[in-house]
Amino acid sequence: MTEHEGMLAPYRVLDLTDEHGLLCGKVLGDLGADVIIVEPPRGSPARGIGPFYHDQPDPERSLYWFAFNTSKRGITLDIESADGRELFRRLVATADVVVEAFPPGHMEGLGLGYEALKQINPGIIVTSITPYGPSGPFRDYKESDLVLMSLGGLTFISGEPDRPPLRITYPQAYLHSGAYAAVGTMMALFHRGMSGEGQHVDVSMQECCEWASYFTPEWWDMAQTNMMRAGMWRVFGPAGKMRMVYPCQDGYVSCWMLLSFAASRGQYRLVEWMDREGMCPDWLRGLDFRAMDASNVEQGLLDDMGEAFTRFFLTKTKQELFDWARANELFLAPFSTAKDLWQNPQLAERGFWMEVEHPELGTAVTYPGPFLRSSEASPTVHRRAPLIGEHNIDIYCGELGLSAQALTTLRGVGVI
Amino acid sequence: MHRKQVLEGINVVELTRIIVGPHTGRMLAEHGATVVKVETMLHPDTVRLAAPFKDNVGGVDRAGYFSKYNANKLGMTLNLDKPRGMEVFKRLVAWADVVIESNAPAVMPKLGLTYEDLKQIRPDIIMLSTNQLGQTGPWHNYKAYGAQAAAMAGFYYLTGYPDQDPPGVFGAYTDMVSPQWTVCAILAALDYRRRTGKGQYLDHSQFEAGVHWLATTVLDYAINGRIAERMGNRDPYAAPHGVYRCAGEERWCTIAVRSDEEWRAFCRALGQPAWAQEERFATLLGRKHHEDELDRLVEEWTRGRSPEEATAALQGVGVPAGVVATSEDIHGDPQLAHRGHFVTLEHREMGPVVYDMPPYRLSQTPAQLTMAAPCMGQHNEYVCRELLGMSADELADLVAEGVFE
Repeated sequence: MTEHEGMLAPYRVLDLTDEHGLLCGKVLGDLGADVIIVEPPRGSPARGIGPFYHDQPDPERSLYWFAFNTSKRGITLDIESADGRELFRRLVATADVVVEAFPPGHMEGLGLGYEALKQINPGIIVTSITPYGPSGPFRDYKESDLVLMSLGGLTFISGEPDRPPLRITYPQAYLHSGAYAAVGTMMALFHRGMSGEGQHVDVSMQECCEWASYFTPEWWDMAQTNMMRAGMWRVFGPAGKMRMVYPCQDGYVSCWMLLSFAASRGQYRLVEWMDREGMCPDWLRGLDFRAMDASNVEQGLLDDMGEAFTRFFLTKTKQELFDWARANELFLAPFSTAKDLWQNPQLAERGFWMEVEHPELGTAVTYPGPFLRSSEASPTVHRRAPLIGEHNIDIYCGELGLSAQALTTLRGVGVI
Repeated sequence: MHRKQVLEGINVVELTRIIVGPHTGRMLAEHGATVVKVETMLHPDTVRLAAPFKDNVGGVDRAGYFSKYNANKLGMTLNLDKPRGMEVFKRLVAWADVVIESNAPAVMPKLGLTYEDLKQIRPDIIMLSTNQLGQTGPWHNYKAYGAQAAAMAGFYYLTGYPDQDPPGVFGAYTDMVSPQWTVCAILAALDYRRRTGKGQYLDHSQFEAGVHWLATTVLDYAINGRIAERMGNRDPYAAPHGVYRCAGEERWCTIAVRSDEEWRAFCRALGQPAWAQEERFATLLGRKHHEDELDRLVEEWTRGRSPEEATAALQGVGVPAGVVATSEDIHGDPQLAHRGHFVTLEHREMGPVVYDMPPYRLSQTPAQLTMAAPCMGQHNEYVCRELLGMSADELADLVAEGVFE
């Protein structure tokens, strides 16, 4: 863990989210804000998301929880109870930002909506993350990662043309939502710094995911065409397509062969390399990629090239191919697995990994560290994710001045 | 009455290409920053040359891809290889609060435009560099596109069916998970400068951004030795869970049944078909065990309906479901319409162009999209005269020298 305070050190954030928005608080916390995650007394439902430390399902061992709650402190509070609401109001008076991801209208129903919190703290910023928005025809619709990513458009353009559209197996929608919520919150925070004015930030998860579909909507607006999925193929013009995913000895690589003036030097060198190893068909030797017009190459030739490269790549490992590609300017990269990332020298050399002590586990856990480097104060993992109620005494007694007796009472009745 | 926007008075210069740098600048521009995108006619931003083009007519000022990520910006062309072109650029740096660049790491040093150089011109400048692998490290000079970075970050390995080579997720997915970090960092840096007077350099790797979005898989490997594998559209905690064919050509819907309650509601919505009453589908483990058969039966039901009908029937009883949206569907989405997600702006060459709003709405200082993306060099004169205060003569000299190519 690093020593500096972080760029957002003066600010306090109350994080009421669950898995739908945890990344928001993590971004602000890694940037140095004092982020306090407020969980229901039995712990956040996000603690039930696996995988788990040593595969032991336990609310204190969720790796999902670990990953997206770095740099936060944690307290428990039942904001549905009268005492809980009262304590929450007192906390709001000390905070700059509240982030929440309850269903539309839930906070208002508790008397803790933006308008109510503004009475307590006029400069407060309240960021609400909802699946579709606080109003509208989908307001009460249910969401899931697959549902949201597919409404956004990325699913339709991913996958092979002869099979159904495809999502990324590891869920992404909640991360898009949390990350964009952080952007909206930062925008409001900067505004408050300049003007003193707080405000409400309304984040639609559906809209966040819509931003993850590249220029999908533009295809319709510009050309009244639906962008179609092409799977492992690079499509050149109306009919022609060429492989961009190749199997190799121990996995897969992505390789772009450009058939135009933009063709890389590496493509020519690849052919020479194949030739040296006796794996270059006669027709491939001397093929001038730069003189080609991708939209006008015969499919037969595209297929033959795909096959020749596949045969050659199958004799190499992805690391061999990637090392060669870097030295020879070929647009080729390995399909990394989690293991490959762990062993990646670029990440290691840049100090991407950070060892963070977990005294409760009797060990340290290595995390993805700075999400960007700053010459002043890089974002970093300031502390591991909190245990359930870990900072109750610090915050309720130390900061709000609650007596030990009162804390015991509130614990006894399930408020804390 | 004019309401001051969040970033009004903040000046930004971009030397960016494709998505991450431009999207970063756009998010600042839509909240009021004055953003000047600097290009050169000699090498236009790559995506000015990429389809879709307005009405399928090609042209650097007709590309939808460029248009999307450059709304609300001023467009300037400058030849930085000409000394006076560089001089104009440096005057822009002196004017700027933030400089954003997204070039290969060798480019800025070669131009003499490193952070140290810019700091000489404007001591409190905030400079962001974003590229594939970062500015340091043994592989930082590796040249590639985002599709390669996305494969390297692990997204490609995790998108596909277990029984088939993975096609990977579409495109340069690291571009979709990067601008959020860069904008947060720039805003934090602006706030930090407001409080301390200090500028800074920000070095962002799109590959690293990607790894953050797969963080749990890396922890799982490090701690449990497990390598996460692709599962098609399936989910270990839900069934049915997938993309199902609907009536019509290339029409699909999603369904995600995660609990017993959702399963019972799902069966109700389907009219309690006999198969849904079978013992083997009564539990999640049973449904997972017979998932191929279950998916086939579910698809028999969806095939007879449009994705909108299937969604309404399922969401009506509380089952997560939705349309697998195509380009056209996104424009027809009633919820996005209700949110005012799309606005139409007049573009000089393309006429009316539809733009999407950012996914967050600030109640007091909402984003304002007012300008379509610039044509090449559209604001050369405006930038020189109004922002840099050049005289008409000086501008004419520069034009004569061919600085704005």
